Amino acid sequence: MITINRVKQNIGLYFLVLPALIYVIMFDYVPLYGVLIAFENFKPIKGIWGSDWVGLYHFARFVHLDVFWVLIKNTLSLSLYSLIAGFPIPIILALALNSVTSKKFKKVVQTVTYAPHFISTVILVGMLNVFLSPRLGVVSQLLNSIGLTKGPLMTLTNPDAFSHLYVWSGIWQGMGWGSIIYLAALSGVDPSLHEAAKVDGATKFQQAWYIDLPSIMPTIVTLLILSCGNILGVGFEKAFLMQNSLNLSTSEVISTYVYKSGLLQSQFSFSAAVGLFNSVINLVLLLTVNKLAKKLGQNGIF
Amino acid sequence: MKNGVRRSKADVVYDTVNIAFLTLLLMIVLYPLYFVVIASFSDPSAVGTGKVILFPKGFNLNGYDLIFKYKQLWIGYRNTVLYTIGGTALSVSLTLMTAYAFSRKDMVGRGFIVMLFIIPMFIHGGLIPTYLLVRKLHMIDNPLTVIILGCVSMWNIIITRTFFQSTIPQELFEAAKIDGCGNIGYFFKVVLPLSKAIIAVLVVFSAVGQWNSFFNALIYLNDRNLIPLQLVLREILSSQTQMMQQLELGIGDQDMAQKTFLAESVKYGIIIVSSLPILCIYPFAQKYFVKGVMIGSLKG
Amino acid sequence: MKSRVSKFLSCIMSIALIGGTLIACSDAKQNEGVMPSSEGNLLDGGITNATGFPITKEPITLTVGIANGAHMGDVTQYNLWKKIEEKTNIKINLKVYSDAEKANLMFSSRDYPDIGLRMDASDQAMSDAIDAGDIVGIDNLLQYTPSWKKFFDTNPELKKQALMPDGKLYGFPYAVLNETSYNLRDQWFINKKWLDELGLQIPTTTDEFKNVLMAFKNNAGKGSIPKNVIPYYILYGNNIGGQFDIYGAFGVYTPGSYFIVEDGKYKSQATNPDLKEPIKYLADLYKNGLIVPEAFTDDWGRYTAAISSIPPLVGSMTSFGDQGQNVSDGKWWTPIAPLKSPNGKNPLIRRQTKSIWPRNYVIFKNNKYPVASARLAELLADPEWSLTENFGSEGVWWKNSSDGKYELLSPTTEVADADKALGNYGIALLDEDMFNNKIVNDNFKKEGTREWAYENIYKKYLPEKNLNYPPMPSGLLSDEEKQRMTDLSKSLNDYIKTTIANWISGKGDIDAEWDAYVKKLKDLGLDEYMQLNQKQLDAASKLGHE
Repeated sequence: MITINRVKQNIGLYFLVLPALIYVIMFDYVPLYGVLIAFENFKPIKGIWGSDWVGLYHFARFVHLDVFWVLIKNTLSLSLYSLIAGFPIPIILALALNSVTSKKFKKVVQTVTYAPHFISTVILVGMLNVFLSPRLGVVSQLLNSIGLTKGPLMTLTNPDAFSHLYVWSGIWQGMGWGSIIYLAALSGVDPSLHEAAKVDGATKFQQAWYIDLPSIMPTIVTLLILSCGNILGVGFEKAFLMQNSLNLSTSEVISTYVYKSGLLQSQFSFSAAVGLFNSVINLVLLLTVNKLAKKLGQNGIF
Repeated sequence: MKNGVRRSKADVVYDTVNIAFLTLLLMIVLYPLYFVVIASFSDPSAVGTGKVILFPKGFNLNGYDLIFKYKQLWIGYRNTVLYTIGGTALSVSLTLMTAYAFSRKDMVGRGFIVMLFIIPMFIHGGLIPTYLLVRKLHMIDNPLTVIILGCVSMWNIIITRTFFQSTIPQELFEAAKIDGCGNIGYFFKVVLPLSKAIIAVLVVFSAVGQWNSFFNALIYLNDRNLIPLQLVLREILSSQTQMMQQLELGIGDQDMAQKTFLAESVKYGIIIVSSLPILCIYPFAQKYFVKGVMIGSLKG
Repeated sequence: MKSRVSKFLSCIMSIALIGGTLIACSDAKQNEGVMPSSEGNLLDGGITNATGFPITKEPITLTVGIANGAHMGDVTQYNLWKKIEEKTNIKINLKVYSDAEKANLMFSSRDYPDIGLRMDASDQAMSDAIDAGDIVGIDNLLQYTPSWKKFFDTNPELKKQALMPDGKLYGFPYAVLNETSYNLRDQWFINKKWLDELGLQIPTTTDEFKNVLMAFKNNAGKGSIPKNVIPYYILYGNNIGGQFDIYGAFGVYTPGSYFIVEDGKYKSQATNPDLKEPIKYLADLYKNGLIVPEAFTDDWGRYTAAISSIPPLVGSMTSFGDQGQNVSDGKWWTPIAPLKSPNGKNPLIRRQTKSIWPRNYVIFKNNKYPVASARLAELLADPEWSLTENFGSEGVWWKNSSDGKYELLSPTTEVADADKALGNYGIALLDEDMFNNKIVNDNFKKEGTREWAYENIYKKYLPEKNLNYPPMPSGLLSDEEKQRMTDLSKSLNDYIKTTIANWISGKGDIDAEWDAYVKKLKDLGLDEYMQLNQKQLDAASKLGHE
């Protein structure tokens, strides 16, 4: 009874959710039967309901691949590295920008750091290759001319360098974009807190550390949880474009493998199975981290 | 007032380090951006062989020529602008409404509904059933399709909800309720005016997302008059890989390598042509990241 | 408005068809159309003339699906469609599939056009559609297409490429058989200007080649040799511009993969110990800085940038196309014959497979005018129509010369979309006889063209037998076998590619590691992979013999 009353009281909230809910049911849940593709030998002509059922065959195929553990290792290490190195930087950038007094300088830095988001992956990787080209690249020429290295720069062919290139070029491209949400959150900080802190003689660093950072903590935690839910989701395009025959031992990740083996023949079912495998692990990770966050006294995402 | 407060020594150090750090970042980001610009005016073989460093080499406008000669380009621009405006309006409204409801702890069944939204972030039916559905709804070749598909982003909803939870105190609603304000009235009259910053963020996220998207248009639009800019540019670029395949099979004509080469020179120009307009929306959005909005409205 | 209605109708139709109930009934109808009906000689339900033009007695419209070739411009503007309509009474309504994904979805939803030209859907999609009876077999229609019938009858090897696993034909092919194009993979170029400046001869052996490259490197910065010269450019592992012609110089034939077919037997060159010698040679070039590290990192774009840099940056490379016209100031590049190696074996250059695009014109079962459609395919097999289809409009790309031959033209100004060619996105029939006897191509006389190089240099170095893996239809193996083959192919070829790259770049010692490498390939399932390929090969060779 009480529940019904509480529903009635807040009936407006349900109206607010309704349009999005209709969308989700219509375009996410109605086509959901497509996951069946992962469990059959799907043939487009036969349709999803008419193709032969093979159960977990494609999952077994994936897990038994010779390179399975290599793929898992490469994928995990890339995304953990991206997370550890890449997650804090937009926060630092936002905090640093927030304490800049010159409005003009702030605006310039903000806008410029955001621009790389618009560089397509093809161009990004293209530039990496041009800059780091073993002999003709600007980096190689520079290092050789000041005598730091002798001979060609082997960064691109070095399997150990791959993850650094991948992660740091990603940070270069994404830090400004990533800081947007934190800058917005920082604008919600009550200025009177800063005024009071100043009166107490707090330095700017202390203000950033004790006022700004805690006040954006909910946003940080939310984004951290969301990132953990994407740990196996290393996208294929960039890794694929950065691959060469000498760095394949570290640059082959789940998505590039699936993409390339799909090229050899249409492998709807195999890619669906691997996708589902990734999703389930990601979802479990998300739920775990979410629970952990709640235990630590933060708001989870649900 | 602020300038009146004397800066402590620690602050001077902090400011200096801060400015130096940001200036360094600025440089690191700026050079590759500058490179994109000069590369778009340079001879592609000079770019490919590391001769373009500080200034364009073999200055030419061939790349831009090829892009602007493309008849579809302006139609594409027009469509993209329309889709971006429509898509952004729809997506931002849905996100705000849903996120606000999700931010209210007193909503019965919230956990269940949120879970309902989260599952599709991970598990989805894939392209084929979605295509069959869109076809059944007669939404092929309908511009609304590219506006509607993808208009609900759970990621955006979650961060918006976090913003609401951490910036708009629950007590405010209790106060408004006493004034006879219902949930919907409160949302429009109180919550939205207080949320300019997050609205600005959502506009940037959705507009940029919609501007850069091409996949739905590729699948669901056949009519050449409806295709967006990114698809036009993709057509210009895809010649490169296609001709490569042709050459691999050895059935291509003789000067294909030459044409491939032109495609290479177009790559950089395309980035500039496609992103300059949308790049400009962020500086406008920044205006709304102003401190103290909260306080002012509370007092008023 | 009308098109919307028909779209709606075809939509309803195909939804109904998913049930599969209409398949049998439409098959029956199709046979009715093929057989001459009682009233006169009209077919397709009284519309189509069996011979003569126009093809149909009243105007009809056929929807034609085609992939979007980016180099083709706006394909809907082509004059070809107008010419077809004037001649045949058939109006072509083009449906362009701008992406392979889209073509695959078309198959998934069975929302077919009447005729499919090249659509770039996956082979699997095509063969599944054939299995499901969605594509009309053309064996019964060949009576209306004498040119194609003759083509298949006189070219049994090519017909084999076109047969599906059930031994039947399901499409009209793009058959443009230009020997200079298909029989040679890459030309091998050397920088003649640098040779002349240094007073060196064109190298004929691998040792001489190395000496020449050394000279290029040692004279960097002198004359027209730039400081950052790339003596020998390879795009490692790539079919075009890769290292495979060096293997050929040592008598080891590798078509671009490490697997060949000799007398019907599937063979691995990856485990052939003869491969050690050329790899050591390449490693030596690399160690001496004659092959640069970029060989392993460059992509296609930078490969073209490097080989067509003006002034040239490269001393020698291999490339499909001509490099003559890339450099305007004087003659830089000259093609060279494959080099002789110290082991005394006959040097080889790679060839491609003589092949057709077997299903570039398929008739879907919803097409109400199969005979008219077949007759349209026949029209396109006519020499002049084929020239227009393959090269472009008459008067722009080719013309009739006085002696009844056809002269190819090279337009100097930009060509309008209307005059462009479909090439291998459509069908054409231009066989060797056409190219050898009827098409006048000046390039054969011009030094520096591919045609000239083929005739004068490469022809005699081609391996006598074609050792390439022949094209074959999908569907000869079971789904499980195919999937297994895909997985094996990926892991084996990756391992081969990476290991050989390591040897060439000096990260490993081939002599010490060879046995372990061969063992690892076996562990990865090389034998199983070979057996599966052999099985597929055997099944393909049996096609058409039942």
